[in-house]
Amino acid sequence: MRILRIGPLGISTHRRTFAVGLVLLAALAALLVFALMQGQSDISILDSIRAAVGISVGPPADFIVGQVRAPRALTAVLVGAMLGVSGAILQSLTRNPLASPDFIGISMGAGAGAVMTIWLIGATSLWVTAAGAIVGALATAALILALSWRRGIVPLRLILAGIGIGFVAQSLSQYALTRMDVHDAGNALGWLVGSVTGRTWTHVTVCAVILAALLPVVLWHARALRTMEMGDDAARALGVRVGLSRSILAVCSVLLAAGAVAVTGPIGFIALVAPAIALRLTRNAGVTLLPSALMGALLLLAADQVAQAMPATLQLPVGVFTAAVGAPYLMWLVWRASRGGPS
Amino acid sequence: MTRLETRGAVIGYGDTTIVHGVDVAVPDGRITAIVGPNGCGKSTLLRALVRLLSPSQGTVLLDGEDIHRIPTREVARRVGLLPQSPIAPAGITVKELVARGRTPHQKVLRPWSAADEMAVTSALHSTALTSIQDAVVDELSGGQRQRAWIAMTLAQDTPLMILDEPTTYLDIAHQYDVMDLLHHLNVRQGRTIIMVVHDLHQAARYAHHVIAMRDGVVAAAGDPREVFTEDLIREVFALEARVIPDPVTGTPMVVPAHGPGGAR
Repeated sequence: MRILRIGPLGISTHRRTFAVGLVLLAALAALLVFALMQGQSDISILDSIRAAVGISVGPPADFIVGQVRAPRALTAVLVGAMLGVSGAILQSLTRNPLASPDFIGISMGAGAGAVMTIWLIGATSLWVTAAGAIVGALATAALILALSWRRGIVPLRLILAGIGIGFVAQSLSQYALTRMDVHDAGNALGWLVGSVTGRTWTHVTVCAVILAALLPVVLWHARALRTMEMGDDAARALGVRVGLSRSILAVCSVLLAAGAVAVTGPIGFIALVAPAIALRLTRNAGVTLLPSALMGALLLLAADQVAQAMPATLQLPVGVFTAAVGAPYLMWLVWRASRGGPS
Repeated sequence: MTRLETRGAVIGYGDTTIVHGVDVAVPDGRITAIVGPNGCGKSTLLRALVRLLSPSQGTVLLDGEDIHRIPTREVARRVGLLPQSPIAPAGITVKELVARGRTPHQKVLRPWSAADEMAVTSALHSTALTSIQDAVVDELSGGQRQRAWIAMTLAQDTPLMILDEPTTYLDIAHQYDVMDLLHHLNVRQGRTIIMVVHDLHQAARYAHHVIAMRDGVVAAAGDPREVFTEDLIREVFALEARVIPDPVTGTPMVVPAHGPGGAR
């Protein structure tokens, strides 16, 4: 095992994982700068960076970069990371590459929670909507667990139950939409599409707070997560408190997905694809959390850039583009599984 | 001398009781085999010994202390377990798998020490896996894979090792390979080994102490030469058998008393 050591602390990782992480980080930084500069107005690279970090360089950069492009790009980065980690945890816990919060109904549950909140309380603040999404996601997760629990999580039942409950949640959202007043419905509908357009520093703050709170918890249990991939008995025998670690990790996964949905609406496929790509790039045996986060950030930011680069007549929400990458991957997974190959 | 024992342990799943109040003491520094017919509770007892199950009555004592009062990680530093069907993460190499045995010795912010490295190197050496340590576990033969799992349990560096049917699914040569390995670990490293085995011949050859179970109780326990009698085989397995000395080792060898077609 090749281990990287920094002073007395150390990061238990393979050199390859570390190298892949660095490359992803560099690519993300480059794409972020590109995203700040890209658009109708030409603003120099230095001015873009200054404006993004809050140093005034005068109009129009202060507004265009500082208030429009920077929060939008950072929202994409943070939401992508949240989805990447959420998917990685879920896939590891269920030992199933098909598990991701947007497939097993968590995202739909979060969506329904947010729409109901807008209906009952009104779109007063993003924090309220986010709380609604989190309640919706947790309720959905609890329901899925209750339906699929047979002396432990049965992965196939979990996925089937999740798909079913996802549809129920979606119809709840639809029902709420028909009942609320037109203005709120417009708000909710625009949000249900899944997009990072028009996101503000408040959105960035919500994401940052959720990530800052949950990521350390997740990383603290990373070794337990990897150990549980060997089966519950083996993990327990290796000193992992399986029930406790699994509950904490599952809740973190649900909260990350819910937070992402609250901020951008449901954006599909990132949580499914990012961990899988990260796994293949790092050639790690078992879950890789940070590379999954970086990969998710990179994918969502890139998808949003593609979405923005489309001609005005073709302006589509970013979820359409993540689906364009994710759907073929999903088909490939199903095709491979049906051939009985390893997954 | 014993470090691991049960006292009146009643063990089961939910409302179903499988083991009805057993007292067993695992002799220290020896190989103990638990035998018995399917469903007799031997795996259940094994799971309780390593704290995967808690007795509804009675206790399991590790070093004289109730095992459920000892922190999970501390138990994992004293008792290692090779479960019946562990899952190797896809693409994991032999060395990475063995390294996971170090989990109970690691801390979140201090991941890998010289002691960890040494334990892994020595576990690979003891199991003759050093030359294929970078091979992917999924691609190994059944015998090599089982050795890799045993190496993982070894790297855990526990004085007590518990193995649940370590030879199931292996061909006869690999079965004896694994048994010889366990024998060496016991003799050279002084590890206490507790295993569930189906093959009475292997149990008699390799174990110093045998616990024979039937219907959730201990039918007999002791030296295999005393335990494996024709009466006991009839009582425990409902099989008419002759017990004759093994021509190689002199240990008891259980042979069914009827030829093909049956005497019943």
